[in-house]
Amino acid sequence: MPSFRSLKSRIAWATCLALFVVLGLGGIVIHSVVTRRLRNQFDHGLADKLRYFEATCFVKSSTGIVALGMLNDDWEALQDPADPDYFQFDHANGKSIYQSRNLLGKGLHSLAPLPSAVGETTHGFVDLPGGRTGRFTATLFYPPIKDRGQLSGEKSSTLVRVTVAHDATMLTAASSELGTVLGVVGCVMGLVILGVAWVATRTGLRPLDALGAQIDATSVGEFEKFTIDRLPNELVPVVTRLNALMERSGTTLRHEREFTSNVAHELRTPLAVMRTQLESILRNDNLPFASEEKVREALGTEGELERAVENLLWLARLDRGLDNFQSETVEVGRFMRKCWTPFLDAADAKGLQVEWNLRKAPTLACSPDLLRILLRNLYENAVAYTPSSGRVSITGTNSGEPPSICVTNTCSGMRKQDLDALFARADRRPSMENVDTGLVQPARLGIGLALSRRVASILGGELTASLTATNQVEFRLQLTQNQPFNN
Amino acid sequence: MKLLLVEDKDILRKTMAETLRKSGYTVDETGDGNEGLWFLRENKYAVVVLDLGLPSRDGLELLSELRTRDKETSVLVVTARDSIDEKVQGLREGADDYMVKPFALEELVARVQVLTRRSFGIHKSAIEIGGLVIDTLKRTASAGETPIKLTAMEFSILELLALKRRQVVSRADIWEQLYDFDTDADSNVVEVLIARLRKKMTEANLPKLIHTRRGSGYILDTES
Repeated sequence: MPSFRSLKSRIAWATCLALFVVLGLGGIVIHSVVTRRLRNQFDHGLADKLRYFEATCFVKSSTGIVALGMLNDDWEALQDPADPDYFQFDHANGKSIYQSRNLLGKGLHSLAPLPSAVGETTHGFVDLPGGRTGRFTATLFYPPIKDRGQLSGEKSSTLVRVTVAHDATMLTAASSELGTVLGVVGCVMGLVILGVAWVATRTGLRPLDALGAQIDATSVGEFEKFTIDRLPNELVPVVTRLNALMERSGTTLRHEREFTSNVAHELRTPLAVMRTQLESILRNDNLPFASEEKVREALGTEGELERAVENLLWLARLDRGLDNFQSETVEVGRFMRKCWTPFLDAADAKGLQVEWNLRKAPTLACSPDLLRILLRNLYENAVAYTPSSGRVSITGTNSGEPPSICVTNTCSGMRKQDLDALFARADRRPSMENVDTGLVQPARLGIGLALSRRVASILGGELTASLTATNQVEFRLQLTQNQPFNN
Repeated sequence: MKLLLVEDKDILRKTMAETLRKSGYTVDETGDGNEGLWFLRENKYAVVVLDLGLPSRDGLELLSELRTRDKETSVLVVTARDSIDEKVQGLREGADDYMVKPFALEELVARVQVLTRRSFGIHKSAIEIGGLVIDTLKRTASAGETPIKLTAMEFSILELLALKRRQVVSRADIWEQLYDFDTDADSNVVEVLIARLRKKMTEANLPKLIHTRRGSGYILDTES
């Protein structure tokens, strides 16, 4: 059975199948019954003629010859060329006694079935002279004995088989015509019923189509109720339940949004106070140098806290699907450079060598907000952990499917077994000592890379870390489910 | 230029107001949504700096009410809520710009300056008229290459006239943009400041640019 996806197709297919079976079987039965009735009627007529022959047949006692005592008019009427009957008399052993003139001396052959007992009558088809098809009736009987023109009332000992046949062309033509009429009527009825069924199905399923369209038009994060008006009774409980679920989901999501929003307010407002106060102090021209240094340090710490809070809030929102991100066409190469701008000063201060390989960067349909979060964390990580005068390589490529983004940086002291831990949430990253310089990178709250990995999965990709042959750490985002527009 | 600052966190509001005042703005401030609405009904502001999470009346509600009767005043929303939906909602309600806490004071001032200029239909930071150049970012005035030394008040008047160049600005409007709600200054101060400005511009060899319209106010234009 073909696998139809829509209900309409399934119902149409089932209706077709049912119509084919019902109309087909019905036609066959009607045709069979009517044809049998016609044949019986035909055979009945032949049987009457057979009885007439049987009644007029006798055996002459003097000669033992089988003869017919029939009126001449009847005799001629039976052999009327316009509507002839074919008949023959044979002995039980098959030896011919007499046959009608129209058999042209060739007799009736291949008669089957033949009667096997006296009084038994059989019917069947037979080939007539001229290649026509006829039906025959045959029986076995003992003709009476006729002595001196009078029937003696005794049966002779001669077993005679009489066979009467008649042209059955009309019968087969009627049967064939009946089959054609039934076929045509069946087809027309089938088409009409199919059309009516199709219209009824379409009309009946229209509310389901409308509901499907409503559901399809509902984007993720929308919790509008579906309309129940004009829905069939079967669908009302489904939609009512669906609406209840939508309402509950909407309420839950709203509460989560409010909670996250309030948390953001509670965390960010004190940070804003701290930052503005510190900046305000720095605006004082008479601030002693030592105090200025302390305030700048405090401002730096506030900045770290700010980023940690931001990453935590993003992670919370992404995990709960609280934001709706719209996809846009993003020229990845240009976008990657733009996202580096906030890190220019820090990279220059550390004397980092930055290599750009963006000639083969793809153009993607993705959320620029998400891509920005991911890149910002990768860049921040690279700038923070690359030792002074180290190298950062930034690559965007589409040369090997799927498109990928790579940020590689020199990083002393990183071991292969530590790579997976980089993506652990709130994993306290250990202090890292630069073997060349002896400088220690302070421990940090590792939430940025965990956030980046979450963002990567939402973007339809995977973010991995590996160590290159030259002992550099490579972060690679492979966008497996995001097809580029071009190279 | 007069601003309204609505922020419920006192310490943050005071720092923001102080910074904006130091940047030459006149600031009315409040930490209450209802009071904010009252200020908006009673005064005319170039820019409103609005926090969304306010007691008694939500910032979005206040913004919505403002927009029902005033579509011209620029509104800078300053909030800790930074989800995309919240930003979109804020902008849809009529905010002209959106800034997420915590922010740099420098950024706050820059955004307010941009909104101020934009509210007068001016997109460049430097306004030039008859040889007089007014830099609204650096808050300086010059006659060509020669700087003109102005006090904060004098610059504020000149900036207002420059932003509304070729339009008559009434004395009341100038006074309103120069002083905050609590100030009880003499309105003659406007005339004194205008006279001083004219003198300094003449000393800088500039033609007469500030003209008096009797009974109406002042206009900054090359033609009298």
